[in-house]
Amino acid sequence: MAQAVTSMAGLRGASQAVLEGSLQINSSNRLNISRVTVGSQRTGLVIRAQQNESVPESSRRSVIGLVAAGLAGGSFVKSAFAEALSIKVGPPPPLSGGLPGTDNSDQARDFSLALKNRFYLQPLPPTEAAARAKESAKEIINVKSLIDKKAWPYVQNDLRLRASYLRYDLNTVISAKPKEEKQSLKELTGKLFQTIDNLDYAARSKSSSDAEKYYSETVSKEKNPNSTEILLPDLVEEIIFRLPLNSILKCRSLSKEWKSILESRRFVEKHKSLQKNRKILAAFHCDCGKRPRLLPGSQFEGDEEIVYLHCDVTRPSMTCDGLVCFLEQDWIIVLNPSTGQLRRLSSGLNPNHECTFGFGLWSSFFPDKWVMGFGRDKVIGRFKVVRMCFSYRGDIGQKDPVVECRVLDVQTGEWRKLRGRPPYVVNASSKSVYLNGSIYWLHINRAHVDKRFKILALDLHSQEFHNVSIPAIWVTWDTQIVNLEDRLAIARTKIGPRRSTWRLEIWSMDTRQEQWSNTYSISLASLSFKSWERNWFTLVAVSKQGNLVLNDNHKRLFKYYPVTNKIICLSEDTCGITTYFETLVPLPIKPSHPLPDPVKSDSKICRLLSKEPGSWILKVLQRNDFRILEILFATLVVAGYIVSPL
Amino acid sequence: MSKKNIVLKSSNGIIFEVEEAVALQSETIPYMIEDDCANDTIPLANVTGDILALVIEYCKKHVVVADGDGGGSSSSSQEDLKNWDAQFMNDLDQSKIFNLLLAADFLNIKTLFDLTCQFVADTMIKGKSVEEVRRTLNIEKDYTSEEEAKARQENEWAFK
Repeated sequence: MAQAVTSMAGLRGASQAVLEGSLQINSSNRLNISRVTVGSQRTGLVIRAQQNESVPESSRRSVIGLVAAGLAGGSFVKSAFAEALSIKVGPPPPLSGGLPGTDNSDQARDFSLALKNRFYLQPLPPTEAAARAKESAKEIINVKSLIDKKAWPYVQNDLRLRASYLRYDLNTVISAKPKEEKQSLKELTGKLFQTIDNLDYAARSKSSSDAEKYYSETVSKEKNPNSTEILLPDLVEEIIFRLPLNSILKCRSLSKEWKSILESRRFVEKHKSLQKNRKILAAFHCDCGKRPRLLPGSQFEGDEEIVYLHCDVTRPSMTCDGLVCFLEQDWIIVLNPSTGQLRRLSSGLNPNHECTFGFGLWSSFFPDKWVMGFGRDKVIGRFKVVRMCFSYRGDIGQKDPVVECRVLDVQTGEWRKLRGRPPYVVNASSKSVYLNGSIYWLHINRAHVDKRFKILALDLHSQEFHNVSIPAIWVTWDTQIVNLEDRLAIARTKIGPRRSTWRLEIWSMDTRQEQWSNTYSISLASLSFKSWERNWFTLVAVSKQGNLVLNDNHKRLFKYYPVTNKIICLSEDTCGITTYFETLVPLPIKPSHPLPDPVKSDSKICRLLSKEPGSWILKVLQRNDFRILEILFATLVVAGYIVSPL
Repeated sequence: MSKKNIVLKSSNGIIFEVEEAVALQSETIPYMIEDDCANDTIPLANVTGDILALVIEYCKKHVVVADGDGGGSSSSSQEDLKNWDAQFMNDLDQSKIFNLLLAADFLNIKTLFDLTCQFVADTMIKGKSVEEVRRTLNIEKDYTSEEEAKARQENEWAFK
């Protein structure tokens, strides 16, 4: 760029002094914004028809420097107009609003572009637009020197040029923001441009005092580092990301503006992406009836850090993006374990329904005839609960069931009919898995001896069902559908008569090509199962090093190291739920129903929450001791039984 | 090997001459040197003299001696540096801290930026009540007391 200026300036025979001045200013200006392409518009030359000598107006300030030597600001303006009036023929007409030595809002810029595009502001991607907006804002701050000189037409012209960039770029930036942020940002820009307009007016009426006043207002709006104003949200966020979670939550109560920024999807996603630790969320069973919540602190099993969720594990649960959804008889509970926010939503069922829960721990899933799913609409970011109900009412020989599919929007608490309809009846016990905007169910056909299966998917945004291709394998009843690092996977446990053949196989699907491959084949021969137990495994988490954390249906937690092909038992008594990460996903407060008071009988007082905090880990350990005692006792009884006949 | 000096000029025209190694902790300055004639002064339009002085003080302390050729005076142990950082930040008033944060961002000095951000987070927000944070950060309370109670209730976990 600088070279271009040199050669063109050379052509016009300008003085070396001007040239040097402009060079320096141009390059420093470009530096301020190093990544942006604004440099081109700053250094663009305007060759205008003028009578005497034509000065290369590469920079307004270099010209001002020259002018300041001989002319007072006001009189210069007059002479400038006079010059412009005395044009006769030939050269192109003056640009509207053209003042010597200024950039004009309708001047050609971006010389690398096709001719017809040069006269328009070029749209930039939001990040570059933000940088250009910052640059424009800085330029507006520089108007001060012109106000001091009382060079009003310059003030006005510069201001309008910069403001047009600023307005354009801010709109680009704002339109890229999520909806919740838009409103507050728009208000803020509105205020900013109001003061800029006032400044413009002051320039037109040549009022120094007003100009000074509005100038300082404009600058304070742009510059004040004490508030989360538009020009510095990056910095405020940088500070907030360094705070612990509870301080961030506190900041939500500072003001509406902070709240809307801190609850915005973009902020939440970024905060999530900055987290380094991966923990495991496990269930700590308690039937005290108090609200589910995260227990303070964490515990290590092997090298895995586990945080415990105090909840009733007989309730089925589903997880998605850090939130946990519990199903109760008449309620659906959605919890963000990190923030403790909890919503209790109506199940939307007729109170006389006959659906009840089966028995079992996290393994047995959904109420009779229901198929449930919990996920997030990836496009609008809302959490949804889906319920499919297949019922055969009365008539004997009725072939097709009555299908009712509904979806609950966690934000509003409203149930709606689902647009699509499942192409077939899915097993009532199907557990679902959420992955990438869709919920997946594994349907195993009970009527077939060879256990044919299907995978049904529901896209939560389009609300359409579709079938997913499946691997060419057979499955067992206990085969699980899991989320393996954002890949759809199924975990099949094969336990046969010979221990050496016991294996856990995990098949996963390449999402783009819908092709399945056998990702892991884990020998279970080394584990001490009792052969009469029904055993099956599911995946809980994948550690940073790529090791798998697995849970079996007897609350044993295992870790598998693919490199050494070893599997070890981490814990004998842990219900792993999912990978845990802190998330700030807000849950709306309005449609929630309060939790009923916990049952107040002596036997129901919570062992963990009623007493001093911090000691619960000891109790967990004690429980393991009891287990050992239990085993010892059982061994003694068996030994006694064997010995007694003798 | 001669040590090259770099001349920096603050927005209010104060000139600082520093060793190249000190100035190059900023990732912005190399661009300026590249684009400018290297002997020239480098104008820093966004940084005032008093803030630039602080930045330079910090950079001088943190300059890494390339190889141990006897100039061990500037290479302090990590622990000392940490203590120095804490003292350095503690001596500043709030407006200086904010301006230092802006300067660190503009000059792109990663360690100073981290330090100031962390300091602001720890001293002005963490462990402070909502009212205190509002006062320090000069945030206008636009909640009615009802709305505020609701917002607090929503985030009650943080107030325990």
